[in-house]
Amino acid sequence: MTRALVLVVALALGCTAWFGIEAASLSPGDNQALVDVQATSDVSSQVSDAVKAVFSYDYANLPRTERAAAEVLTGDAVRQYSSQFASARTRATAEKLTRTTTVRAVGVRSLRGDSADLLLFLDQQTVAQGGGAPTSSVAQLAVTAKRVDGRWKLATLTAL
Amino acid sequence: MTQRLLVVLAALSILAAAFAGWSWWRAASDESSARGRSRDEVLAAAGPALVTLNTIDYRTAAADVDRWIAATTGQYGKDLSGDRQLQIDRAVTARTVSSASLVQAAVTEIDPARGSARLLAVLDVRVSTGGGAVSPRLNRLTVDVSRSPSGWKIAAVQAAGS
Repeated sequence: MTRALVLVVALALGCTAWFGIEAASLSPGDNQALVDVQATSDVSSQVSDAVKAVFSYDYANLPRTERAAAEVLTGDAVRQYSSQFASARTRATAEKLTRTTTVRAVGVRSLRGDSADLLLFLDQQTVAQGGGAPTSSVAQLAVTAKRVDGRWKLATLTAL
Repeated sequence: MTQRLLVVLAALSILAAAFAGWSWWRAASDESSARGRSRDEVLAAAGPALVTLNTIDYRTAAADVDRWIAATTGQYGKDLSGDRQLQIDRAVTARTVSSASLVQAAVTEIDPARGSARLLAVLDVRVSTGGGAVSPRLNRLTVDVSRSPSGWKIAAVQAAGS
């Protein structure tokens, strides 16, 4: 009887260890990208909208872009962006440029709590008021986003 | 006394085994964690496969094109197999040497049950022809990936308007 019980304990503990290892090996880790479908789609759409807003401008209404930037940028991106936008602003005013940025594709590389990494393919079209055909360009952007008060904001922007 | 202790111990360890078994079953049947696992598998497989598809040296063209074929599946793989000699001849004629590295990739869609996925990839490709200078080029790609009996393979590659 005692031997049988010892055997049962040994077998059960062995199974516990085996099942535990199997379960752990199936865990996808803490990256919720594509695991949490709703959260993945939220961060994708909010980051896309933010990128569209800060990389589009109209020479006749530059403050609109600046307001958008103030709303959706945080951390390092604020400084990064303001130095870039200063030169874009000068050109836009001088040459009367309107730039429209659209997001062709977006993918979430990682999503952990209030932090996410994304890759975006951008198409940009720039029109000069009263002269010349519109020029098109493409860009690839790596973005780190942080969730601040429930809204995803752009924390770093890296052109690839 | 010892016996009673053993009975309790046996009951407890059976409970522990049952719980561990249940967590295994739950992890195995959970669709969202399956998406997470497939996502990591797809990225791990697609990066090197895309590099392979952009790597060729006219001196080793036959082996390089065979590696392209091995990295692909479905119609894309069949097309490459059909064009095998054409691709080799083209590389030899132009004396093409091409190498690539993956800059960044992200999975955008995944269906573990169907074994299909789509991803975005930015690839740094360095091509030289006729012994000339290397021209670096950043390719942005939309890539379809399918699960084959030997793992995830490239089913289609489209340049995303660059």
